[in-house]
Amino acid sequence: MGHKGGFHGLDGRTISRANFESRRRRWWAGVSKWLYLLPALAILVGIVIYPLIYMFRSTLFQWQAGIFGRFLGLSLWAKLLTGETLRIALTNSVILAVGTVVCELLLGLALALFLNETLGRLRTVLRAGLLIPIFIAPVIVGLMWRIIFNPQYGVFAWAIGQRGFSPIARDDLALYAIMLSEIWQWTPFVFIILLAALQSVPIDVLEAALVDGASFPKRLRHVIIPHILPAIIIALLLRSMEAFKIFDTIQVMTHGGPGRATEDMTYLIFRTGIWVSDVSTAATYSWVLVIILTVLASFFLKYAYRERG
Amino acid sequence: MSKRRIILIVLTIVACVVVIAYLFPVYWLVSMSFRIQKDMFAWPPKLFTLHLTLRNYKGLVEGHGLLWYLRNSAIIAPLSVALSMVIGSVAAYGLARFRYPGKVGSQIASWILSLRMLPPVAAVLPLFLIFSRLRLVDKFYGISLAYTFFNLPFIIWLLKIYFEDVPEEVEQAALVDGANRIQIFFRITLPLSTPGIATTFILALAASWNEFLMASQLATFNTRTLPVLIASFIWDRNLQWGYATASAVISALPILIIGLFIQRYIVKGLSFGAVK
Repeated sequence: MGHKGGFHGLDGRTISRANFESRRRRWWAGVSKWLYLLPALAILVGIVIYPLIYMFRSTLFQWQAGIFGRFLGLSLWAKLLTGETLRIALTNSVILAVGTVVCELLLGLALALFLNETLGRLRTVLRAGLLIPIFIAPVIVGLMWRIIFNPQYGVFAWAIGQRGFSPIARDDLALYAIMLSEIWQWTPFVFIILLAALQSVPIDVLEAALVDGASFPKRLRHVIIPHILPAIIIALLLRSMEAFKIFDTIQVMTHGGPGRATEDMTYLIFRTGIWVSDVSTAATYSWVLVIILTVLASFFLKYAYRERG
Repeated sequence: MSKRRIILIVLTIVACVVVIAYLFPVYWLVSMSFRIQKDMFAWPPKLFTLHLTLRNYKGLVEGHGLLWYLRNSAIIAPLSVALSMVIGSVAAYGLARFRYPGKVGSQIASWILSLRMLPPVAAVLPLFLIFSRLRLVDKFYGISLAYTFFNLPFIIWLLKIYFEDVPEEVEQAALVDGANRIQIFFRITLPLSTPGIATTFILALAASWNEFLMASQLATFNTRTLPVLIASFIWDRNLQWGYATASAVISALPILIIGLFIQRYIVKGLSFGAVK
């Protein structure tokens, strides 16, 4: 193939061995970086993308026991998009998502500002205690609150002095009970992220602001918040990712009830697809949610990446 | 100075009270699991009782196969996290270190992260059908594979952040010294991002251990996990307080113990490199 220790390049000219080696290495570097992504992408296509495509197909055909039957076209879409059921579930999902994320951020920040001022050793202990809710299963968190909100024997009814009263049995309050259990579980997560950020606020800057006589709200707005903004964005991003997936606590606390009061999109998909076994309907609801979440994620990520620089 | 000290002490006491009150639901659940029937259903509720029993736990072990569920969870959760961590860390390393043509790298990264937003319920039905065909339903590796649905995007995104914080110059120096990428990954990148790895690991482990929806559909008989057991005591109108709370306590303990052991790393990991 070669002579004098050289190789023929693609253009037929002889190139030196060293040159060939470096070309080969560059080619390999160009190819190998894709190999890092390949296994992950393959799994994601199999576990996420293929099921979604399957679901999309079943929005167009009447699905029955694993067989695609009569062609529906977009008629199912047209019917469900204008339906009351979707409107209720979507509203519940949005209320839950916005309510939980906003409350988690505000409470987490308040808790972090507050505990950041306490004595050093004890701060570590309190922080460890607040790690507990993060690791507990949402099923268990739902169970906790359901026991607390029990109308006959629950501590909540006792604390407000109204035996027989339970927010999870009221259709105007049940959604907020679900929200409460979510907020209870995940505020500590935000808290821990923000506390770490607060501890990195440079003391000299804070003291300079104090010397200047800046009030607490002013210090918060002009010194603390700008400094911990990257952490706030990460917390916001991590929590919003989960905000539309609330299911377990609903299943345990209310089963979507009373009536449809706590039925969000995930629960609606579950109920139609798994209880009622109307897969085509569930698939259409799924795709409505997928489209909304994809649009939301792309806006959100664009903003988050810009802010983080 | 002493006035500041007093304020500090008062603040600390208030903080303790707040945190203890915050954790009241946990206490209430644990306390219920050790109570006799009469103390569970007392009016007014007994905030504290010394009349404790292990009857609920005994009944769970003897009559409901608690240890069997524990074993299943202990197989599925680590298996799925291991799978996602191995594949995810390689992908995250690629995304953190290499330049892909145009904006493909960051596009893939945000596409993967946006997958995390999707609820498992949207895929659980077709997954069940695919898994039935491949004989993966009710298999430990099947359900572990299904958990990559939420674990993999999360792990890739978090690890990418952590790997990006490892200074590239260190790796370049090692490359010049003749180390290959695999050696660099294991000897430099991984050790330098231990808090991040630990954080990612425990969050993914907790998510898999605590997962309920997919488990209830894909682990139907031989591989049922603890959350499925807990939920089996909870019905629409009623619930079995003793068994539900006791199985919840047993289910929560392992992750809590691991989490508290590595909490130093978690706190460091959750501070993220963005907050130097």
